[in-house]
Amino acid sequence: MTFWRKKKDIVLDCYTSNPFAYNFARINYGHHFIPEWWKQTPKEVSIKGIGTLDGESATIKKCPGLINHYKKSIIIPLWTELRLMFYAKNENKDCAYISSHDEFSLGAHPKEQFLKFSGKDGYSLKIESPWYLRCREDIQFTSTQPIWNHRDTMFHLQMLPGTLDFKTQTSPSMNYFFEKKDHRVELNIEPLTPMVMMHPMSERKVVLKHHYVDNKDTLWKVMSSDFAMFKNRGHGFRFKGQLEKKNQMIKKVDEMNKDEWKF
Amino acid sequence: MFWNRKKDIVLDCYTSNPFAYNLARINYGYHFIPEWWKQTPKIENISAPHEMKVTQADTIKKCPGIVTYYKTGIVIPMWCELRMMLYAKHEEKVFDGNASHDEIDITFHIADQFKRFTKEDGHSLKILSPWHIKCRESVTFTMSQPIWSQRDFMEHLHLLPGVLDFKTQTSTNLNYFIIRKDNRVELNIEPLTPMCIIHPHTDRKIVLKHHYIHDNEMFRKIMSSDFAMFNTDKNNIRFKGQMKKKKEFIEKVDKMNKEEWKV
Repeated sequence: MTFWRKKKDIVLDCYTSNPFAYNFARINYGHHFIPEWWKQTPKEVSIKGIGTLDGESATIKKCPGLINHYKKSIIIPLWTELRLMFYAKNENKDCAYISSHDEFSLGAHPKEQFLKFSGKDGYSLKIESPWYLRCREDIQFTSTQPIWNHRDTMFHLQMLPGTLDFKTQTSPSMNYFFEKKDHRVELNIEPLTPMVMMHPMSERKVVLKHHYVDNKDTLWKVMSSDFAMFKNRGHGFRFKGQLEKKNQMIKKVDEMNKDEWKF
Repeated sequence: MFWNRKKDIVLDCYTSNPFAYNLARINYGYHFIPEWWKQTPKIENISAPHEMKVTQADTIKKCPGIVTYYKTGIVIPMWCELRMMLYAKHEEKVFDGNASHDEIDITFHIADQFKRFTKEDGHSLKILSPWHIKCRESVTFTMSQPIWSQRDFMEHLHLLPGVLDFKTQTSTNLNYFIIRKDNRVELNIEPLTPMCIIHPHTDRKIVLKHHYIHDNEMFRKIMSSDFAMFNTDKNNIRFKGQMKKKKEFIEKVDKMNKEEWKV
């Protein structure tokens, strides 16, 4: 008789104080967000008159790369309907938006923070996530744009990808980028549109736990940079060596406190 | 005390392309961290709009998300200089490529294979990768666009992302997507530009082994879909149940043959 030791699941605690995100648009497993256009695509199509391709051909419906892209992922969907306006190059403003409720906000990183990438006409557009994520383990997640769901917006609005952990920080970054053009560009993004897609760099199963937090202010404080447990030099500047201290602190905290966090 | 170190994952990377093998190897992402990022200072003066005061802020140089994105990834760099012309909507041709040597192939998926995504003006642009990867383990990888390295053409050329394994197939083709615009667009892609970045869904270390193959024809056969070990119908479509048979087949092969493949 052999004993089978099942790999332990990775628990991702997902906290929000946003009722729209919690009730209607939860961060969730990618299989819920497989695009409708893909589902409606037939498995094979007839192709006529394209050289040697004349006959039947398999379609994207049979592409395992796309379906696994969703099945293996975690997605943050949009929790509002969002209308975006990017102004033209010759206009003073950069961007304006209308959302269907006020539990949504956009910010931006100043150009000076990444001028060598942004150039003259490139701008940051930062969607403030309603979700704070917390994982007791040091697992990396890639964060990329779910462009199979973004056919109508992807040539105007691009997500800046990255790799994150949710042990030493809790923010799932939603950093987008746009470039001003000679004319205005208007986009409409529907609720539940996937905005961020994350893939864990682990072979273990990820289990999501959703938590609604009433006390918004406390949630915001505790989940802020460095968990508000260290002083900084002002304007978010850490003292030298502080990042290392924070990482040591959270490691120790996770050893001592195995319970879910309360706010 | 015995320490059970996690086993490395070996990716055998085969190519018959001398430019890719000698000058532009698939490699660890840290080799490809963008120069503009390296040249960015850690702190920059920020002038708030409509305010007279200037403050200091951290720049993208301190963002762990971007540097980890490269450090944890595997990059396929461009193995030539490639000038591309994307033709305008009213023109018959879709695109043209002009490369510094002839060891590059660009093709496309016909629109009928994913018509609900391409819509009227969208087109596939498939760059055939010179690299085939074989991994004996069922580890999956996310393939995404390293747009931090593609500032000058990311607006026009989008990599269609996916999740791949290299146990049941070996292809690393670069499926890009373009839309036709009112005017022509000309792009220049320099050699060694990262064309895709691959992140493993595991926290185990990845070890790359590079192999040069002399016999190109045999190489293509062995690395083709289903390893050329199964018949397909006249349209090159798999028979029912064949995908499952292929997976069982390669599982058995990997158990019996632990050596590197020879071509």
